[in-house]
Amino acid sequence: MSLSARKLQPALELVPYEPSHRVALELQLSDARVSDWLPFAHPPERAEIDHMLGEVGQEAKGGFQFWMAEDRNRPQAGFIGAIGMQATGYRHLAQLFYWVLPDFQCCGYGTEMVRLLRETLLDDWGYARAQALVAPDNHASIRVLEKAGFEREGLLRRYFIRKFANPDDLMDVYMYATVKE
Amino acid sequence: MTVAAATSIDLAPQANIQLKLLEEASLARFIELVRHPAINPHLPFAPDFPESQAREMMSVSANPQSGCYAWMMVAQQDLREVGVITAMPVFHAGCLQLGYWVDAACQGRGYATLAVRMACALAFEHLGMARVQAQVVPENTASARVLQKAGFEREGRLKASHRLNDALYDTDLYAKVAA
Repeated sequence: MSLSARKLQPALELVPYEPSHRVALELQLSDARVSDWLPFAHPPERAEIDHMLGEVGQEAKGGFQFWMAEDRNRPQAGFIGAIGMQATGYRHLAQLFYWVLPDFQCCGYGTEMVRLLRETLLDDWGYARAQALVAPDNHASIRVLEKAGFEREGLLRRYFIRKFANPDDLMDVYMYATVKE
Repeated sequence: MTVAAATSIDLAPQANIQLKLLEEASLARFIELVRHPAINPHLPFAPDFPESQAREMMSVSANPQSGCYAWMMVAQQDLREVGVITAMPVFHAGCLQLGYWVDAACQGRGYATLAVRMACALAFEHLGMARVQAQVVPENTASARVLQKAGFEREGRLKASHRLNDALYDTDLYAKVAA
């Protein structure tokens, strides 16, 4: 009997968030390896998630949208991560944030998620610029952005709230961006 | 000084300008400075900037809860309103973004630099801000000089970050952080 490696062929799909995803989302954010990089407490406070979700769907107001990510070729895996965006400026630029569950990291899912949303925003939705903020020591996320074609523009000092619970603790973050050609 | 009482900033009594929160008596001059043909092309406001928009900025600025401010720069010498400086929170409550412009006839006298310094003092010492920032198009070297003189550091160039009249421009992001 011979063993042959079956090449992993991810078929990433971003599913617009709906209330039935709440349990899955809470589960994702309960993983410290995910929440450590996010401004949520560990475990996340209900109110923090409510606050984030409160802006979902209010496109006209906050320009905030959020998707759960799944791999159609691995339906048994459930959601493998999530990605969101918020329109800023004069609604011509979008700020992205995302995470991939630790069990599914190193498969290129993060890059694929960011690339997919980047294409949608710039090619289909008419955005001029997609940007993301990342902690200088979040090497995995930096790799994702660079593989997805984002470029580092600078280090923004005291620009990001480390944890919502302590808004005075501000951290430095890299600004990464990609623009429509 | 409380935030609500910040109708006039006199942080440096020896300074040759004062910042005065936008109010009814200054509204016409404010509109004139926004519509000024030499200034308006650089501002994110229409050439025929409507009075209603000026009134809205005034009322937002008068509400300390908004976190937004619009001040007139008043020359101490002759009480002439020589320019405007605005501030609004960006991304989080601890970060204030500045915008400023000076009457073309009154440029080159250091008014903008002084106004930026005063706004920073207010932001850091009275509003508890952690960071004050401003974005300038690279061609606007006069504006960049204002920021450098006021102790700002250039953090990077943000591509297509500024939209003006349906065109996109890169901007240099300058910031100053609390000591």
